Amino acid sequence: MAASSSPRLKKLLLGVLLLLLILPAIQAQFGWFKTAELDGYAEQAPHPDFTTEGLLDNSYQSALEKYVEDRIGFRELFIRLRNQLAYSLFSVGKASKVLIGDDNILLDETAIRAYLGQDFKGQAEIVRNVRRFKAVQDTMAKQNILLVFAIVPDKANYYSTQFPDRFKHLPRSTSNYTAYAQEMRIKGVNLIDLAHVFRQWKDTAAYPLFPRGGIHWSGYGITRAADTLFRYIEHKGQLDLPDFHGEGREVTYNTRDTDADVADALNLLVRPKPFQMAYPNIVFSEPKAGQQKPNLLLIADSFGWGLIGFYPFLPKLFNEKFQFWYYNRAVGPGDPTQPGGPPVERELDRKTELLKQRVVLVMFTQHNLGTFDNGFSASAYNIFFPLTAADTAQIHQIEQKMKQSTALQDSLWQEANATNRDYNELLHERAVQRYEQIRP
Amino acid sequence: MVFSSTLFLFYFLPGFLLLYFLAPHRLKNAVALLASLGFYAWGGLPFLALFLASVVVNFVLIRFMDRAAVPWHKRIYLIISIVLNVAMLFYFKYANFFLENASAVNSALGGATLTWQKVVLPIGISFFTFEKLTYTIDVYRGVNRPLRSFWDFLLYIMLFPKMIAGPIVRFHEIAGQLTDRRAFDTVDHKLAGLFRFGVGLAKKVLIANVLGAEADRLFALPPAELSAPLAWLGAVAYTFQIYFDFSGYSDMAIGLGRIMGFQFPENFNNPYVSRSITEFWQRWHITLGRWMRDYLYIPLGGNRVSASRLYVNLWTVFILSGFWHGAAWNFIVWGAFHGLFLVLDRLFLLRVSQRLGVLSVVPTFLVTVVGWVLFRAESLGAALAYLQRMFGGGLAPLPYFTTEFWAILALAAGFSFMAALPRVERWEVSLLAGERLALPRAVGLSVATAVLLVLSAGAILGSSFNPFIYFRF
Repeated sequence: MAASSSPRLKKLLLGVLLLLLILPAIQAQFGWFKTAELDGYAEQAPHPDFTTEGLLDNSYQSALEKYVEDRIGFRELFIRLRNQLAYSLFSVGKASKVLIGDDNILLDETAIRAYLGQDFKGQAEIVRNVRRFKAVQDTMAKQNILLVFAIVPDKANYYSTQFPDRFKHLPRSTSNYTAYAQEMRIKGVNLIDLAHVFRQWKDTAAYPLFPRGGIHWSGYGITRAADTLFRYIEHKGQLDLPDFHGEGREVTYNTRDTDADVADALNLLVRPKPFQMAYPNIVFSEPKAGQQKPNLLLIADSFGWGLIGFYPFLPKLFNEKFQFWYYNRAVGPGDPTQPGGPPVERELDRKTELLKQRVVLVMFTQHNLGTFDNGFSASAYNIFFPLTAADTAQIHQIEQKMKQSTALQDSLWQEANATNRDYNELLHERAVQRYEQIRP
Repeated sequence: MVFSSTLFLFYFLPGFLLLYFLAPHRLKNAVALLASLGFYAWGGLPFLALFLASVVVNFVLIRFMDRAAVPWHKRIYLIISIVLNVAMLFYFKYANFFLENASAVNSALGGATLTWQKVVLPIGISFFTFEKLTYTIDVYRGVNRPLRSFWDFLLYIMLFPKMIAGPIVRFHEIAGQLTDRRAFDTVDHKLAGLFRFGVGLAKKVLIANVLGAEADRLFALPPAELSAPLAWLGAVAYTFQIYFDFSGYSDMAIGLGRIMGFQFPENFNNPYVSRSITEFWQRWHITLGRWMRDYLYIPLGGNRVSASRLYVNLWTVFILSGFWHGAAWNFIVWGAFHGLFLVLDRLFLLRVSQRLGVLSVVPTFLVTVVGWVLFRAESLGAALAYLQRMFGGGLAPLPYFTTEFWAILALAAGFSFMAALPRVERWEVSLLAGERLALPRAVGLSVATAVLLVLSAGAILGSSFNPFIYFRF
């Protein structure tokens, strides 16, 4: 009996293995099984157009292979399994720049390096940027527009004692954050340093201000930050914003909104256990009689979404048609209260838009200060202080100097050809950029 | 299409196997040949016509050679066939190299730089040229009768599992199986073949690719940034990468062959446990070593020549072997480097290693590590600069590497050296080459195959870093 069943069992085993090989293609075709989609993965490759040239130069084949790879059945499961093994066995996160710190706190490598001062831009650039910002702030103040810079805490600064081992003992030097915060205080910029505030709250906060598996401030952290931020704006702008207060809170392991954004991006089979989080129930009062909800322009990085998506602070406290320039790029027409998605550039007259506002809130996270305010104050400065004849003459001089460098000319010609742009236009643009570095 | 691609694993392979298993015996060769033509065309369509023409010419020439009654007629056909095959290889693989060097010499002598249209290398040409030559020479020597069917001959050359990167199957090793392989058409062979394929795939994507990513990073660093320990780490990472990459590919090829009923020769036998470079070449790329021995070294006189001639022959064979691997000076120097140690072995090193016993594995391994630097670097100059850092780069603590890298490196080292224990080596042989599987072993191998396939699929889909080193050659 055993002897006769053995070949049959072996054939069954062979059949199962063949099935294992063919199942992903069947699943790709028919999608019989539901699998959770991957988080944060790139666009799928499109189906290539068949051409004889493509077939002969092999570009069709490689494009088709990529197309098939992106759509193979159970792809999500395979990738999650691989990521889970790397995470569980080696404490490695298979998502770009994600590091696993002590207590399995997920951190961003870029932010850690910024904390250590590895991307420090130099004092001269910082002084110049702050001077311009202050000039814009003062000019706008004359138009009764409040310009505020809010430094948002990042998780690396907050959990600097829980870095992965290899970063723990690295030397720390002046960071963009420390230099900007100091310079803005010295120059009298309307600054609210929420990073500093978070550090003060860290030991006494009842609930986590940053989640374990998220890279942004927690919902609870946002409510506390909002309270401080909007009181500051009220005070500085002599405004009376509608009131809000907390009425109880839900304490839970079920994270909301961005509180597990990085944990999700790790694409594991089992999501790492989060901290126990608190979600206060925020109640917004209706505006009192005669109380105006002021116009607001928010220029911020992704932390700005927290004031919209977690709790609707901005539409409740300000004019509901407030503007959000995500990384200083106007988010596309439609509902600015919807977080996520890439910003869509839209035409706008910056000067008109700026002068329409009552409050302009510039809000960037500590680790993003390498690019300061993403060019907001530089463009506003040019609006309020246009180039003079002397400036133009200096730009012309720079252009002449640039023309003397063969290497620079070669690279500009290459760029002009690659981008199909006019060489002289490109040269002028570069000269203006250089002048901006030294403009008084 | 590489074996570790999604298209091959989940479409081509299962589709082919289903057709192949369902086809009656008389049609199996046709199925295999059509699949092989499709496989080659997928990556090398522009060369397919030229390739087929060369096979036709070769087949006809050998037919004429076989029918020739006069020995010198046979010899003429032999020479024509060899010249045609070598000329084709020379043109496609080495024309750029010689023109580049001629241009450099011309420039150095004050002449103009030469310009020419770069010749594109057809995939697999190094391997299938050698196989065509073995057919020619084996028939000439009377080892085997020529195949009666052109299609069987085409299948021998084109058989997709081994066509692109070997093993180099000599004609006499497979001649019988090309026409009748029913003896190996058992479920045990198929299960064992699938297991072997899974092992090879895992070696490639779970080990070689992880080590390769770091090796690439370190070899790309400016030499001044390499301390001696870091340079050694890069060289060791590459040493294991190339082994697991190439032997993984060979495992996949041998496994696929076995599933189809072919018994391809082994290509690797734990080379890093070798106690001398001579032994290393009996364990590394075995089919190339045998080819070189049978079709080059022995015709040059083999061991039956004076000592000095023997050394010259050995060195010549290894320099040519290096040149076969790549048309660049660093490959030639790599071949010369190994050839030198083979000569030194015969002069005195073998006696030293006998005295050292198992400890001689260490210096042999270190010599191969140094050799791989010559092999891996982009140019001879880059290789020498890297070697300079290995031996004079100064001491500095290693920068951070992930636990995953260290674990995989340790795993690679463990797998590479464990066969130094004879019991482990015997176990490996019985596991990979066993012909009859008891049911528990069949279940065990099937489970292991499934696990390896799933893990490998995760690695393939999760990472875009997936090049096969040996596709260059």
